[in-house]
Amino acid sequence: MRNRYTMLEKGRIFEALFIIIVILVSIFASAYFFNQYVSVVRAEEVGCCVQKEGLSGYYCQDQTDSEGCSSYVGRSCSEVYECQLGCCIDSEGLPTPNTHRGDCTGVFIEEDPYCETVQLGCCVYGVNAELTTEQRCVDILHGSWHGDITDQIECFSQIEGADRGTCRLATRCAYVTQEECEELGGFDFVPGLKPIDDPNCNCEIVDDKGKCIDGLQHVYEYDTCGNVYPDRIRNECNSDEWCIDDECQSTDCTNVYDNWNESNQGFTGKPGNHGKTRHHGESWCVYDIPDRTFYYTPIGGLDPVGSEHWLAKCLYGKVYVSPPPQPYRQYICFETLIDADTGEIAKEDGTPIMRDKRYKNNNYRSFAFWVLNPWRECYLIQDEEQCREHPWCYWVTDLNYSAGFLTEDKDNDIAKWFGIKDESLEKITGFPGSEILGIDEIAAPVRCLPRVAPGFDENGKVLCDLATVQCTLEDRLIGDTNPECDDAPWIELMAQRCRAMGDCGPNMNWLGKVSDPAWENSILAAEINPEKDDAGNIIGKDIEGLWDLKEGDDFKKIQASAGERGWGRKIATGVGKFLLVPAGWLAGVASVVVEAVAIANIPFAAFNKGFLWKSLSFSTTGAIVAVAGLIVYLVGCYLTNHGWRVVGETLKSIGVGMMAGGLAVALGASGPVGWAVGIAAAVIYAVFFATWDVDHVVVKCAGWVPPYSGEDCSKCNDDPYRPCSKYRCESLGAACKFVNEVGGIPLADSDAVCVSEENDGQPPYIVEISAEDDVGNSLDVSPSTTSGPTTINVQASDGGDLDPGVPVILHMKFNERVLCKWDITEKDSMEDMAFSVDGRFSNEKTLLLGTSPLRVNQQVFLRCADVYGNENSASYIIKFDVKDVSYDIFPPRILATNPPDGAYIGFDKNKIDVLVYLNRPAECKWANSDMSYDDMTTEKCTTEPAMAGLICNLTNVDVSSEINNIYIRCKSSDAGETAPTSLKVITLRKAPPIQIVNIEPNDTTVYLGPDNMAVELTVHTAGGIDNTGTSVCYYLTDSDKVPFDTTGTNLHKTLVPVEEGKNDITVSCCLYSSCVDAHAVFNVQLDTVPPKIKAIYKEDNKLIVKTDEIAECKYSTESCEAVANGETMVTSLGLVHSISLSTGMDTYYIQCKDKYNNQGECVSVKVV
Amino acid sequence: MLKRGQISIFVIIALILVFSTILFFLLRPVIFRSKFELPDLNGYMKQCIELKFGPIIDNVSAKGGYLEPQLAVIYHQIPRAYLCYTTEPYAACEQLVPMLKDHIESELKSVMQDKAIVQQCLEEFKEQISRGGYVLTYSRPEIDVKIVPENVLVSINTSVVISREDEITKFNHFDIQFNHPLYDYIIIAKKIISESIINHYFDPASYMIMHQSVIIDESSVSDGSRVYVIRKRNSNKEFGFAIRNYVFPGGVV
Repeated sequence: MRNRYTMLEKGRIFEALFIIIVILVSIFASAYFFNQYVSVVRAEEVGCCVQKEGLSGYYCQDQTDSEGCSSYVGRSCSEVYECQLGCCIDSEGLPTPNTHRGDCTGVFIEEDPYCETVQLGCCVYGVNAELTTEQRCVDILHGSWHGDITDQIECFSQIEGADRGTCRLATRCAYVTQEECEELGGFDFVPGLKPIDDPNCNCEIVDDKGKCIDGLQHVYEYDTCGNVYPDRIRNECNSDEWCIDDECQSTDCTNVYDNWNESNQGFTGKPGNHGKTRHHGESWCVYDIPDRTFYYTPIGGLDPVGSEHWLAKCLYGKVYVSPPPQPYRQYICFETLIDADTGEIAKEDGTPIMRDKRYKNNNYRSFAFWVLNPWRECYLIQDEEQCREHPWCYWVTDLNYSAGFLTEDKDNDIAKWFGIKDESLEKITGFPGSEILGIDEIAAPVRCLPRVAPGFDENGKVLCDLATVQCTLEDRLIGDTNPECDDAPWIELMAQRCRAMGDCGPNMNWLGKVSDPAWENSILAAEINPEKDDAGNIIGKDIEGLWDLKEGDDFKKIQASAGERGWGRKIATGVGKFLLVPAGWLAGVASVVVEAVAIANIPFAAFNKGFLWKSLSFSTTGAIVAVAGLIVYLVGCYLTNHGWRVVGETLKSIGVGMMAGGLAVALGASGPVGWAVGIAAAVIYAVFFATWDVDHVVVKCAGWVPPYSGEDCSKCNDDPYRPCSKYRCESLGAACKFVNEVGGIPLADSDAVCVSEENDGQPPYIVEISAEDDVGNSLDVSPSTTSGPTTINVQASDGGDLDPGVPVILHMKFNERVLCKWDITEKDSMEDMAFSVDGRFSNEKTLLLGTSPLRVNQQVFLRCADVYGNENSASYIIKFDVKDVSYDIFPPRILATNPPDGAYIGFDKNKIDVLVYLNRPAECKWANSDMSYDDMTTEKCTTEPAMAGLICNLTNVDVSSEINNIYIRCKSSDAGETAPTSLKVITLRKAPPIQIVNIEPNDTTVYLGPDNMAVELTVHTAGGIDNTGTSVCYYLTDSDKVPFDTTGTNLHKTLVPVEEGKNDITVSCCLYSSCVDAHAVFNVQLDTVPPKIKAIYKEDNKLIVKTDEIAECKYSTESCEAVANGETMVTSLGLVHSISLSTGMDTYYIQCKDKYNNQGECVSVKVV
Repeated sequence: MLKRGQISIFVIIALILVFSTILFFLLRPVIFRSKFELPDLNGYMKQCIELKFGPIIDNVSAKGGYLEPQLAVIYHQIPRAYLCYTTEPYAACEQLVPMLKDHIESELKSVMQDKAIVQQCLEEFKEQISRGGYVLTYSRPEIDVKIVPENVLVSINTSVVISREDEITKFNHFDIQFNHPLYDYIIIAKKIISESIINHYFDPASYMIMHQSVIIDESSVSDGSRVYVIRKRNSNKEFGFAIRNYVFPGGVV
């Protein structure tokens, strides 16, 4: 068992020096790497693979090389004429969105890639109906087209409702509408007459089981001429039956696949067939571990690594289980219950009923659907109320684990604790993973968390870093700042936040397995304090305490260390509390004694003759003492800022006492009063203001690491309803490998298999190692290949020593996939090593060292393990030979900027701030042309420590041109005028403006029911980068700017609350913080008109009722009052309703209502 | 005298036999030819082409419109062609075969020509009728394939001449009709692609609930692609294809 608490020795410069590497490598340097990466990608020329080998049409995909292309051009596809996207009307009259111009041999509509300008209507042809173009309907299908019907269900209702008759064609008689008859070239159309009733047609009903019609429930008659009669039912199916294969078949699904748990009468069982029956049309969600979903825990956020949601449906007696539209929990399966009687969401006391009540009422029908997981939106929300109002996000203070699961408790102590974080909250830019989120800037650590934590692949795990927290504690005798930061509960909560981000921190996979001991602590929680050199520069950090955090066996509780405080802080605090209080008192007393000597002119022999004191007045002497106190105080400040905090704060206390006492006397106070004032001031300062210790607690959040194993891999292949995927397979063990291609052709997940790699039983070794500095100069590494752990020396390329302050990047290739850890002192095993190289299994590793200066004879110890946990028995020792000189003779290194070189900026921005990331304290200036640092007349900035490292913020940088070259020069802080400077040139381009090309609805009238006062706004944008229209859209309320539910591309959709009457909604679409606005102006009218009964007639011993809109009709044979509790008439699509007439019943009372609950009049019908 | 007469009779009989034998062999082709009945070329071609081309139509249909798709996903051991594809994250896929019906017609026509199916059938027929003394010649066939509701129509224009002495029969055109729901499959596939582009996602259940005659099977691919296989409930013929649409970027997929 690993020690829960590890104390590292203090004062080891060697060690302290390197801790900064950990912090900066993980946060700062990763930003640096990211920016480097972005620059590299942007620098690469993107061409267009116009045509691909083996494809007949245009491929038109941007790529950086011509591999696999039969036609390749050196510019973006958006600039290639044949690759322009539009809507193509094909030879069948079908609108075909997103078609390349070069492929379209039909009508090509430019600037309408989504075919929105193409009008669709309902086409009825034969006994079919579909929404299509008039061209297709008339020319191809020879049907009757209704441009006013754009709803699929309403369109289908036309099959039954169409007015057909006999139409004579050249070879036969058809039973079609008059329009169809004309389109088919028929003649002698006789409305209402069926071909079987027309003796000239010679058509007869076929005397067999009948035929099905798509979309209709029953079995229908057909004739020898090929006509099917939707108005002649051969066999009426029961309510739980449907016409399948030309006969009525039961559509219920038995023994369905779900999470039903028979013992609990709930839904917490493992997915499987648990004997339950569902009705046709029902759909429900299936979860890998349902009791970790948002249904079971009020907050959610506990979906295990590798888990997905599944959506099962019962259709025509068969269960279909759909995988999510995208893997990695990018979609949430959401289930609601519908009351079959009312057709509305089932509620209990006004609250929707949870899905586990499904079987308590046979009248409930489950309905499940996919919701795009808005985890990115959650990350971006900074406002607590806005977060709480979002249905799929929760505020960080709701992370209360004490009750065994997450609860929503706004008033607990945690809220107070999280308040601390506002202090360390800062906006970071150019952060790792920003391309995943699609944004450049985010406030971190993230405080609004997703209820369904997303899955991450190895690349996505960089986002875990957004939950990394740094807290600064200032230890005073009374009134500590952030005293909770090094308490176990706070650390534990930070760990929970880390896990809630996604596949981060201590976690488990979908089979409930946790990481191996060396990696279960995916979080580094450490108390780290800065070490400074003589010039006050931060040169290293000292670990005073470490916490272990891991997923417990019950998967509910993250365990924090028993130790609650770092030893360093305890000692410091102890010194402060038990030694420095008396020291403060003594200081006060000392100051008073001095004052007494001066003020009372005590005739000590040594001072009495001819001494200065004699000639001084009380007030002058008091002033001298006060000035002396100020000097003492300043000396104290200096010492405090240079690593002598305890002595410094003691001197500051004395200084304050002297200043206060001296001033009191100078202002006329008597000697005893001066004593009292001096003592009191010294004590007050020592107790309430002196900061006896400053600690920095860092909780670093990293990605989850799968267990060393291959034993569970095959379990991924066991369930055909939940096919394995790369994500699911690789979560089961480090040795699991998803075989999903054959001969270079990818396999669908259901065809692929999860297998385990072979265990060679041998630890891994480095087969190739090289090193370079941060500008790509190769360094000398010896040996450059190994067969096992050994000592590796790193020197300058000429074999000499390295310059101090030069970052060194080690590139290592291993003989197999490995995970590595390192430390600056030798440890017995990987488990004891403090720092992960990158937290992922791979053959190649990169380790960045030296964002802080490397010291002479610096050493790093490295151990690695393969996917089965075969670990190096000894460490690789990597030694750096570094010059023993001050690094101030070298200019500071500009590691990155934000915005980075080559970045776009908003089209209306003329002045921006540019952040400059440096490797050590420095000051910087900028200019629009190259010149010396001193000649630059712009305002200089100086570096400030931040989460992302040392940052210098250049303000009001001129970017008024379309293309702006910015020259940035930096030199070390406090360096002389002749100090060398570093130069970085960045080019910033203005992004083309975004255009809002279309908003819907606009300039129209929208009809809504009184219970549904929301309209879906759809916005299309163009312009922007590469004219893709990619942007983020918002709608504006009186007080807020609300992001669209779906945005980030050129198509944006959201639901907007509206009011009856005129609505004017301002839409704002932004790219790089530059926005354009447009308005959606439309009228909202409430539909309060009840459905009307168009016709009532008797046919084949049935009473038929036709309504003018989709409605539900009920009837009673007693009275109008009884209709409300009466039977519902049979209808397939809501326009035609029927009941079988009963013998002896002659009067029927009928009433219909529409989907907005508008009740029509009750009518009575006497059947004769 | 009697003996000489007997010899003469024997000689005459022998001569008759010899001449008869010679005559038999000389006239044998004529006798047999007159009994050989020329098969119906139209019927033969229909049967032959159905046998050879029917499985190809099924194959091309199952693979999304290509006999050997290059950009494909294997599902149920069959490569299914991508009909809509993008390499970009968060982006709608771009149609690779927007003129799907035209493309499949063209593909089927190419396969038929490349595999010389008409020629094979005619050669086989030629071989068969040669026993009846017939000679068959034909010109390079012109093939047209049309996909219409419920059927795939193959139209072959070739000048076929069958001759035997003065007997000459000519054929210029053959129409073969394959009962195949390929047209409906193309329309459904295009609907799936269009909905996926416009709404980011296609829900097979919402389609199937309105069209009980159709079964749409879907499967995921770990790179975010999706495979669809369409089948009519009363048919064993299927249409399979893949799309890569609105996938999430490398960081999370």
